[in-house]
Amino acid sequence: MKLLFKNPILRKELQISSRSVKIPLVIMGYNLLLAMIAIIALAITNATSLWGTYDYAALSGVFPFIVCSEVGMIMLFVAIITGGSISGEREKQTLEVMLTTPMTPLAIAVGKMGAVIVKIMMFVISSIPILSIAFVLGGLSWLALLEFVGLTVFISIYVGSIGVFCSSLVKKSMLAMLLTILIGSAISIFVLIVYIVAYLLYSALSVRIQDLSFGGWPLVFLFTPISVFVDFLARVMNVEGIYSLLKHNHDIPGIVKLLSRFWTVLGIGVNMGVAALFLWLSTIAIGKVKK
Amino acid sequence: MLMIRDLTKKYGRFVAVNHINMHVGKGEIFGFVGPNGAGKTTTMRICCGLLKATSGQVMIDGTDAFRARQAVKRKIGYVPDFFGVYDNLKVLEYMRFFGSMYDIPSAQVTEIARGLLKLVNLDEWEELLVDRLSRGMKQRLCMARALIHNPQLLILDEPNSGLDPRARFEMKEIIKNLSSMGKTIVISSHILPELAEMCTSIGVMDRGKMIVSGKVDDIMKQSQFTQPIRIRLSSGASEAKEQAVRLIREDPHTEKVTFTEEELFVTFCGGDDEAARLLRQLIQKAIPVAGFYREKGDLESLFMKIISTSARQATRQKGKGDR
Repeated sequence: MKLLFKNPILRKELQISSRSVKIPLVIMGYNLLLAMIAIIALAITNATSLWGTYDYAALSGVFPFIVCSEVGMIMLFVAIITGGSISGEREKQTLEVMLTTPMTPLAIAVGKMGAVIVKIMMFVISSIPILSIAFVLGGLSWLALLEFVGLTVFISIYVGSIGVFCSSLVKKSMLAMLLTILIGSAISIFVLIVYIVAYLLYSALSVRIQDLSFGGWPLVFLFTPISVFVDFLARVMNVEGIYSLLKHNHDIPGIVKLLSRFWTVLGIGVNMGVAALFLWLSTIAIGKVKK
Repeated sequence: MLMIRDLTKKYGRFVAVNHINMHVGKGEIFGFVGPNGAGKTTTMRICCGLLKATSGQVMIDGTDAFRARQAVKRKIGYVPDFFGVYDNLKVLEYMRFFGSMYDIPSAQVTEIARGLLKLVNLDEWEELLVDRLSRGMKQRLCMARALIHNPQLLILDEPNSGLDPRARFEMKEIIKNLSSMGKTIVISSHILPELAEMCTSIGVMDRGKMIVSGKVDDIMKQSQFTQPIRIRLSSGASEAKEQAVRLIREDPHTEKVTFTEEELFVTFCGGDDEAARLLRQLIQKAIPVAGFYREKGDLESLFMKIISTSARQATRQKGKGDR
């Protein structure tokens, strides 16, 4: 707790951000964009009833538009902010000075991550009125809204850890940002490729494939935070979640079904593990006494 | 306070620091002198824990700098050869930020920071953004920052580099003040006269090796013996001059003799006794000596002499190696 709440870097970052006019402007731009998306989503979901009565049931369709856009924007912002976190210190030549103090590389990385999460929370909290359009008009619960806020924190930590890692590896902030997007996307694409290869192998070996949940292979999607978000989206929209997909398949072991029942918790656990791994790697890169 | 034993740092086959030894006592000001690439900054960075040594030992106030890195960090204040400041923080905020890194309670850190800002003459600017400070002020702020945790050893890498004469003078005064407060200071600089004035000991490094190390007075004394002797003859003594040149050249300590109309310049490697003997011989031969004195040595000329000797030796060794 001391590592986070009494972290001098976290406090310094927030002090600088609160002084700058950049953050309020970006938050305003972010909300304007989100509002535009919400208006477009409202128009699309009610395109059929524009001249008739308002179709309130169709309003729940606004929800995926807004939350997907918000998650996408958050991922991008986290990549941008964390991309410059350590490399920015290197560019300013302040990292070296910091490393001569008792600050540990872990404290530096956690401070940088913490600052990003706090900033992202500002974005998410400021966007709650727009999100409420989907949640109130769409007939979704306030609990789902809270769950969504929690998910954004989770996704921020995940992308942020990759960002801090990339930023500790390269000297240029722009390169670190691009690398963060690349690694983040590559992990999800890799998981998808593993799944597709497994599917093709199963087909080639003429193993009977009942549906896409063959052999419990969807479990590989636990290694991408997108699956946690998709599962949340499906549950909230009353569409079949990942557990629902798996539970009818009699070919897969019971343990797999049981695990898939706790997809959100497991997914968060696994991806937090991945985030911890990236954070640990970044502490090595930050504190590595150059040879 | 600082003990370096057999310190070596290699980058592949390149030896940046080559088995150096040095000792800096408590309260001393040790000046690191050497051309660019001599290994001064590398040695300093190793002492601060920013670089890993290939071999050797660094002890700071009795603590092994490689084994107890965190403990050593609290004993050292490091000012690198760049500013390393946050332009968008205010002067006092910058100090408080670094104070909190050393776990100084927030109730005390402001008071300490203000005291240090006063010491470096920045107390009037505590509410100014660091970005607005001049180069000299930024350097003084870095100095104050390095002192926030009251370290016993200060390592200053080229603190005067790029500063105007006034800022250099102010920096020199601060360093002298700190020394009078009992701080041990290791400083590297290219401005040799200033080092000679401030330092109690110096170490001359070249090509990773410590060529000379010791008290400034002792080294300067040694250097006096390598300074040329100027001999002035009374006017119109051209025959006597030729005789004097012959006599001086016969002396085994004479390396070279050059002369003008009135003066002879003798590169003489002997000490005071040998010089006195030479003077005696000249007088015995009735040479009209009107003046006989050694040129006064300074750190700059000593440095140049040491470096050129070191370069010659290195070329000779390389030649032997090639053969």
